[in-house]
Amino acid sequence: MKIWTILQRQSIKTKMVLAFLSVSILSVLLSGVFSNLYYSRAAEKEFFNVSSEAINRLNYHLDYYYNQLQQSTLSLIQNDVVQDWLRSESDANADIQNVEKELRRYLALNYSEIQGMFLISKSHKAVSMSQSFAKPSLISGEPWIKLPLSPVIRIIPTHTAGYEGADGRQVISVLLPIFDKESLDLIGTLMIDISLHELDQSFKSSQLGGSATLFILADDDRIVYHPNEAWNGLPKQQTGLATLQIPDHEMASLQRFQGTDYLIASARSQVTGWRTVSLVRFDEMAVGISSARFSVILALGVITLLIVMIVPLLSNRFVNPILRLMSLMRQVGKGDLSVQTKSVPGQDELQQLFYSFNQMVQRLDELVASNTSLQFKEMQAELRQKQALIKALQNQINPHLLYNTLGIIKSIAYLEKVPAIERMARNLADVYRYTAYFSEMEVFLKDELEQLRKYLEIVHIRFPKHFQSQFFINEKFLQCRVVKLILQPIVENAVKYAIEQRGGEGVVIVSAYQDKEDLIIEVADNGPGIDETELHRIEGLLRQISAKLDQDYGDHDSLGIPNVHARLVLKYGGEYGVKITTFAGRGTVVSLRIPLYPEQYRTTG
Amino acid sequence: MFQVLVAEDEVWIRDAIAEMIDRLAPQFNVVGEVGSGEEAWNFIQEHWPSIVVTDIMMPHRNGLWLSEQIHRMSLPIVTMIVSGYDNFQYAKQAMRYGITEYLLKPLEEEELHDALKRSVQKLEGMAELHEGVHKIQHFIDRLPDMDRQTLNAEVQALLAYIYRLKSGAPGARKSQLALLSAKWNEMFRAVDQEHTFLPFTEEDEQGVRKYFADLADAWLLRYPQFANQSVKASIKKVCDYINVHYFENFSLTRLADMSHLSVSYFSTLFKKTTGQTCLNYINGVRIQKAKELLHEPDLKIYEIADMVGYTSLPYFNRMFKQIVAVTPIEYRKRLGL
Repeated sequence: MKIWTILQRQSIKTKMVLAFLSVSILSVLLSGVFSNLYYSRAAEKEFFNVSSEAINRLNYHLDYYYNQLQQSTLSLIQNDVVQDWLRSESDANADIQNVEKELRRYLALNYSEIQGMFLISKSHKAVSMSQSFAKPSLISGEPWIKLPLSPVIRIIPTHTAGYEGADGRQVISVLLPIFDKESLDLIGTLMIDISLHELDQSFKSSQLGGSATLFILADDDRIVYHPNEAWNGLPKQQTGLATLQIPDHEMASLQRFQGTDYLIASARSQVTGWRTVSLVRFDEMAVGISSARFSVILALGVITLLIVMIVPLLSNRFVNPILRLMSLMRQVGKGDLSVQTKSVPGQDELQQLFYSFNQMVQRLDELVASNTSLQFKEMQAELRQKQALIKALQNQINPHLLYNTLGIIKSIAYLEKVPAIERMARNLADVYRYTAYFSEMEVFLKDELEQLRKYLEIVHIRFPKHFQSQFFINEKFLQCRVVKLILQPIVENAVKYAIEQRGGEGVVIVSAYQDKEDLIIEVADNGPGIDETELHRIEGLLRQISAKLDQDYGDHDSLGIPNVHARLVLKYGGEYGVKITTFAGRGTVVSLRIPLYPEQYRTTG
Repeated sequence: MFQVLVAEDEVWIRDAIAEMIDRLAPQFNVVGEVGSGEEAWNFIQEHWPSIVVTDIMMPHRNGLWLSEQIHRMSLPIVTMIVSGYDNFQYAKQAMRYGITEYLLKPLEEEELHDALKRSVQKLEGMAELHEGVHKIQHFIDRLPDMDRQTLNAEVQALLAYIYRLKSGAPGARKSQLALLSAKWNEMFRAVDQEHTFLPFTEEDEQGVRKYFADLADAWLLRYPQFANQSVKASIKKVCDYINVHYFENFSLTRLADMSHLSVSYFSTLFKKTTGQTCLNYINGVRIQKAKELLHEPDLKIYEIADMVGYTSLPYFNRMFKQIVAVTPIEYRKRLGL
């Protein structure tokens, strides 16, 4: 879970690299595992084929050998001397010597590997190639001497021959039945001891790889032949092979034996009933497998290396356009809707994405533009409504009554010779008349200042002693065109917050200067300054108006700073308007920025 | 000296305007202060001031109507409008009536003075015509007393005077003749209700002389029948009324109605009977009463002004000074009070 969340936080690039890597490595590993498995199977099968072929060949070879041996003894068995002796069982030296002669002749003509030959009669009398061999005392320990006659061929597995001339060699005894050639009665047995030499030869010709071991087990699990001669003749249990399980079927099987994996296969001989077993160390057999495994590991390494090198490049190729799109999106997020990116037409999803992005931004830009213009229009409409409202309010005060009353007041003042009242009434009437014809038209700065003087004169009359007002305006600016009624609201504001608060003790300074192509008019007072929260509020309002977003600006002040700002912005554009600078306890400067028309500047300059 | 009529319904403003004009004395002198267009017109018909300063918005005929009347009859009067409405429509109409001075309220002394000074040249050019108008008025005032011989001589002399007028414009002579015709016919009609107004259309001197000769014949034939004692008695009755009710608010129209006479005939008869205009008679009575009241030391000047019927103290002061030659305060000082 933790790893998952960590993964989720990674960049898409990392995720892609990780995903690619894990998928590739997994597939390489899987192919390795499968190839390993199949290679093992194949090796087993191959071993089985090879070993079963070898074992069968060996069995056949041995069987054939026994048959040959039997065939070759036929003449000896049917020899009259042998038949007669078996019938008579004579102890006559001559007879025995004749038999011995026949046996020797046979031996001389046949197999060199025959260790010894004995003719055994019904009464277990034995004759060999020489008298010395057949001494009853010497042969009494042989396993075959006491065996009753049998009509079938018998083979006694490996044992040590104890008689003279055998020298304690290990032999296999083959017991061949002898029948009377006339009566066909069983009259004796021919016993041939074959030295293991013959087997040794056969086995040596049937090698299966370097460490392969071939051995023969008799029915009773006695070892007939094993390359380790010390084990020959011993039961399997008494040898190092005790723990080995010999399978009955011919299929090869894999067994762990003495800490090593071995492949075992066996086959049973038809003649002897013995099992020939082949035992091969698995790793020897699976040299091919390990080389295959090595090649798989090598391939895996190469692939991994390639993945590590190529996947980041590849993912870069995919991710980079996304990153570019992301940075563009960020720009769009910041409000830059002029962003466009190169888009090549095509079916590529990324190309499609870029194309769609361009479309979207363009559409967004159009929407925003139309929305802004709508808002702008709405704001203008609102402003007009506001003006209409002001006009309606102005009309509510019957202008005739107002001006007439002021005229009467002024007349009385004139007649009574009170010039202060006369001036005040006159100025008030003028200020009202100027305000009453409130419109968006532009007037000369001169007219605006003239009006301001009248207003300030009223303030002077109100605060006759301490109030001061000063104008520092170069004559060359007097013919500049400005929106009507922009100064009086600002000065009224200054009077309200800076002068009235201090009982009239204060200064209002109106000045103008040129800043590049603009005219800056400043209204400064030495009042307490605007407190921070209020300043923030007003500045926020001004910014909103500049951004043409605030639709309720008119609700705040009927003819205050925001209204002046809104009218300047509407008339001249967003870079113009009102700016406030305040110094706590020392005063406030409200500056108006308006464009200074060069032609008017020339005409008066 | 140019006589000025101030027509303005707001008493204080009217007083202030009059005061402003009086400060330019002796060149300009306020001879009348009225509160409506109708009163102004009546005053003009009787007193023939040189300048009319009028408000626009007034009850009983406004300033524009007044201006129109003056313009239509081509009277030698300079009209100035003082208005609280800097309405372009009014200004345009005023221009059509030949008015060049259009002043805005509240009126500044300086502005009015400048306007008056600007009109001096125009007034001097009108002086001859103005004299003619006065002669016509004088002739009309004396009509009831004249016999055939005197009348014929006077008519001849007046026409000769009019034809001698130097003011080049032929319209000026014609307007004087038209004025004479209009005033005479009006008088005739005031005396004899059956009199049919003889329209004045003649162009040449011969025709004009014949027209007025015919009018004189008709007048001599008809007038003696109506010149009876009862008319004089009714004037006397009005005078008695004024003597008692001097503090009331009078207008010429109201007084004429009391005697069942037309305003112009009433003024003529009044002047003939008392030797002064009705307005002057009223003022005389009021100031006389005021002089008496000034002997009462407890009464304040403005109380006295109110008691004798003046709506504003400055008007009273001015009238007092005009008649008694000193201000009420000085008068009281001289009494040792």
